[in-house]
Amino acid sequence: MKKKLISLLLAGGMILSMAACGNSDQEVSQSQTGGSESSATGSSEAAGGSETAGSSEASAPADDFTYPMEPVTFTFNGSGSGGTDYYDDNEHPAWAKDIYIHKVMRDKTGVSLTDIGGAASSTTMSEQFLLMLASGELPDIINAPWNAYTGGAAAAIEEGYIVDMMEYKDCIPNLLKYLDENPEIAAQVLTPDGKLGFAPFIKAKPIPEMGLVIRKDWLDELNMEAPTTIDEMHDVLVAFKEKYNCKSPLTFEARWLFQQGSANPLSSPWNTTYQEYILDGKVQFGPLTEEYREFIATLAQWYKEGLLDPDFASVDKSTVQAKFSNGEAGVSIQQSSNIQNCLDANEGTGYEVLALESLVMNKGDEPEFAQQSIQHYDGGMCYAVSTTCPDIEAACRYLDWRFSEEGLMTMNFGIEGVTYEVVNGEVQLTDLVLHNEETPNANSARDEIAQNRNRAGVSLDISLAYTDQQKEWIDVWTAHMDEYVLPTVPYTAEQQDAIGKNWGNVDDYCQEMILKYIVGSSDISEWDSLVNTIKGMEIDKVLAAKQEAYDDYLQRVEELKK
Amino acid sequence: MATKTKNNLKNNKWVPWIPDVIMAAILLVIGIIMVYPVLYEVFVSLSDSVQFVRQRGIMLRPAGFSTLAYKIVWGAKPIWTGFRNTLFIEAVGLVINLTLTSFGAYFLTRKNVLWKKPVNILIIITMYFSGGLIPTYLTVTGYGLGNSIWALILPAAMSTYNMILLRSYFSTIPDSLAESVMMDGGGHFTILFKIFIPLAKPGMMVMLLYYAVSHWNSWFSAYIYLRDVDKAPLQLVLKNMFEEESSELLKLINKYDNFDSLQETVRAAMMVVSTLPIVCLYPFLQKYFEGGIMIGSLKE
Amino acid sequence: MKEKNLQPKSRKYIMAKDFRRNRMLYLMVLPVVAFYILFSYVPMSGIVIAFKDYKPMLGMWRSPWADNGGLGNFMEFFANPFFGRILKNTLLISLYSIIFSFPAPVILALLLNEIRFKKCRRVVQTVSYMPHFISLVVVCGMVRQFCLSDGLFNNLFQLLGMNSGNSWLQIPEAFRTIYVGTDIWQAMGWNSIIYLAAIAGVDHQLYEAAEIDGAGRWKKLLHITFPTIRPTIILLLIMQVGKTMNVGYEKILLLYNSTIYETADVISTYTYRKGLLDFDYSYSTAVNLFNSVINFALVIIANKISSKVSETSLF
Repeated sequence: MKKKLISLLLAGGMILSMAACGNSDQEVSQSQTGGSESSATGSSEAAGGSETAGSSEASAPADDFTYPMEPVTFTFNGSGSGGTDYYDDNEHPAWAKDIYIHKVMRDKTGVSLTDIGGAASSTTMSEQFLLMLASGELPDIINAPWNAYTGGAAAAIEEGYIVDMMEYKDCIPNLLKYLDENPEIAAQVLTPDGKLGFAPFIKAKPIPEMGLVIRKDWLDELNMEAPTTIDEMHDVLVAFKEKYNCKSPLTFEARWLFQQGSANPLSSPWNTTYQEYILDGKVQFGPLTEEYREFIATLAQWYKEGLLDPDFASVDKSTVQAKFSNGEAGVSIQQSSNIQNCLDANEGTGYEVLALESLVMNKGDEPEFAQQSIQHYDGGMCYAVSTTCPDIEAACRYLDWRFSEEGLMTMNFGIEGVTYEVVNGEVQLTDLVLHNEETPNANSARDEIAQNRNRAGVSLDISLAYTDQQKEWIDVWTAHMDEYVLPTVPYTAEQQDAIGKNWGNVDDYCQEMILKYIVGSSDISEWDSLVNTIKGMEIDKVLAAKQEAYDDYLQRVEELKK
Repeated sequence: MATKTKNNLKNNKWVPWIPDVIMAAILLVIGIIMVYPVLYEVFVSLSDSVQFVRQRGIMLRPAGFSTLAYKIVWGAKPIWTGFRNTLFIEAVGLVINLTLTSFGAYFLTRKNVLWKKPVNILIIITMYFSGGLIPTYLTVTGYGLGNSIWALILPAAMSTYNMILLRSYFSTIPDSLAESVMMDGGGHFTILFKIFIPLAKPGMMVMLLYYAVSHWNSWFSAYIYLRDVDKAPLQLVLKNMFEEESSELLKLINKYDNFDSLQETVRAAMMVVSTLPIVCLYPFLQKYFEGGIMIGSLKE
Repeated sequence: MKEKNLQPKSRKYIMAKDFRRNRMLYLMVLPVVAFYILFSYVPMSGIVIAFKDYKPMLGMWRSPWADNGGLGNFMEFFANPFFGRILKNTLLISLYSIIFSFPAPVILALLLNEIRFKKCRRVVQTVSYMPHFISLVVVCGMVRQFCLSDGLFNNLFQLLGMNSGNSWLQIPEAFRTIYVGTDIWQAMGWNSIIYLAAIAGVDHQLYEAAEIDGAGRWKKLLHITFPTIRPTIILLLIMQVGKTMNVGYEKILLLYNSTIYETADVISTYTYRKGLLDFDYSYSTAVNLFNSVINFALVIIANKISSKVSETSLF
């Protein structure tokens, strides 16, 4: 299981090093396909540089395509309201006047985008998006979570919304090459009959935005070690409650139990989580397992003992943040921006926060579940070319550029020599980004000169411009990522139907009962009735559909690897 | 003021003191409860954002003190274009609203009109049945109103609910008044403008207020019909600012230290700034809701 | 002259006569009717989507019919395991609103009208309509704070000597009270304006005449003020009854959590959650149509009763 992670990191590293060799030559990107076969990552890493130079003469098609293309403008459904002029100098701070990313991308590709709004969110379709489809007035490039579309990208191609980019193979060499090198992603993105509906958004190094944290200064005062097991955590919470008289030693928003595996650090000792996960190749659903029942029973016990927030089911984000910052809580699951707020609010008081790894059952065990179930590809922010696009080839080329070395480097790091440098094969952001006086932190400076979040393309290292403290938290939280995650796989219409019809009710019912068990308004000894009820709601059909899709996916990965 | 009240009370021998004091007490309690949400917003907007993070529960004063949030709002261009667009919608929209609503309400109070009942039913049905989002959208854009500010005005040209309210105000006006105008050779327009609208002034003011506020608060049609940022009315701008991880909001605040915590206070300041003008409308209309009228004087 | 060619009292005759007499009136109502036709009736054909399996690319008419002879979407709705619960909750919340939220603005308006301290009256009137302008997100955020185990409500109970550490939004039985209370808080002042305006339309001579007859304050209220606003109250009540099925999702979404679905989950919140998973437009149109039909039926009944009992009617 670890192999997948490693190979992906390698792939990321490979692209980086290739870029480091090749990026002085701006015209190489396109012709590479012919040259590089899908070989083992190690060898292609070595071969990358030399082959590039050779193939650009040998196998380049007759038309000698180079970027930038003839200036062309495409409409595109970006942020909700639309109408933002990406190229307006006034939208950007003065220091970034000539290097902000949209302008750089336009210069390099020749493509300008006009944002007409109506973006679908990362997982669902918005009203605006639905209306856009209904009116038939499609933007040239459509941004949507195509896997969530009924029938997936296959249906969208079939129904005539979007173009099958495989029909424009000549225009997407880099994208094809990327998929070739990453069969896991290819199996998620390609339709069952091998069509390609969109350019995906891929996180080469997904990082959790939130995780388990504890008041380090309190631990120190009490002379306690950072808890690693569930029992140690219990002792720490009891100690916090006694010493600091806090009403809710542990607090977090109840929704995290059910979303993105955000409560995994607490359920990890039982090797289970709420949403579907993979155990020995089988799709599992937490509430159907005995382990999950034990986890919930523990939370219920903590609630009874006054260790878990008495308002657990109803606290919201700002209340949790307030409690963690003003000493009503000592352990929490928080987003890193919230933790930063808490630190700022307590500056100079000795307030310290420590990120914790996922907990385990017995001392010395390795935790198996990471803090958040984040994937390399989660189905969001996929760019497709619409059938009404006036110049489909140019649009394909534009999307392809995002997967070229030049595109990757530009979108992730900006301009070499100005915003980043490559030192010993490693990318380093320059002081213009890292220590920019005009911005409060490096990350917001990076957002001006790079576009590596939530855009079609490959996001290499989001945390590069984070503060050291944030990096520290992320290092802790990132351990054990994605070993158990059910990947975002394409579903057939029947599978989607089986899931869509039943999952909503199951989810509703489980959330309701689980929270009631925790706060004690229902007795957890009735767990069997929960299991029976959701079985009556055909949870088995949902799981079978997911299992089927997962098996298909594995099979396709194998096929694509050959 | 106190002496004036006393005089009033003295003049009216039917008024004992105690019920008035009790009522005043009840009303004051209601007033305090009602004003709290507004005060809360003001307190949040004036809080120091970093200290506000620790804040929880009832606020009786700002947490720390800072006017930074207002400075940021002052420099937020979209807010001011939003104001401009909303004012345009208010001005044009209100004229259309009041005209159509009074026409409709007047028609429905007339007697001996053959088509009154069918028209009434035609109108009432629309309160309960509608085509829904997609067909409405396709119809309105089909009229060429897509991405136009008129898409926010014309489909909202009148509200059935308001018209029925106005009809009920109109129906209290005695028929004899209309008949006497008819006798003098006046037509329906004369009756409406010379008799009904002046006599139902409090009702018309309710219409004015209700329509003005509904234009002020509406964002959904703007959200679905408009594509250009600079056409967006205030509430759509606010809606974008209030979204989680709003890029519009980040753009305004990301040059300040601790900008993550600034979100809450800046939003509160926006809320205060955007609410103030419309809240101020009411005191101007209030005098129309006080005291009765003298129908007798009009009769002569 | 044409009249003579027509049979007196024939349909045509009556119509022609009516038209001649009321042509200015018809001219007046023309833009109103045009508005309703253009913006309400033209799109109304979209109701057909409820009976279809709507696919945007195919459009309204070419999309295939839903299963079970077009009733598939409705059957899916009726068959869902929570149907009974969300229907019951919707009806109960509406009923509570009619009983408690509806009279509140009437009482406030009467109080404001009766009070003789002018300044007090003005200030309270202005202030009481303000919560209407504070966004739901803020108001509900506050209510959630108040309901916490260490929130305002529990503090007040403690002052009264009751010791309760309840987290009120985790108690199903408390939800309807919280919902209706918030409703009153936010809308009472705003809705009272309607009644204040109606009261302002009372002819002063009536009061004067009553005073001469020796009527006291209470009598004047009962026999003059209240009868004046009664038709308005009844009209609004009928319209309120016609909203029985439309308990909106916005506020509930901001207040509830899954421990209190038992009482808080209503039709609109349920379909909202379902809509989040997959944008099933036919399904939500079907649910809306179901609600509309019930609302319309209720309004017709309420109107019948009202026109019999009080001679006030919506149509």
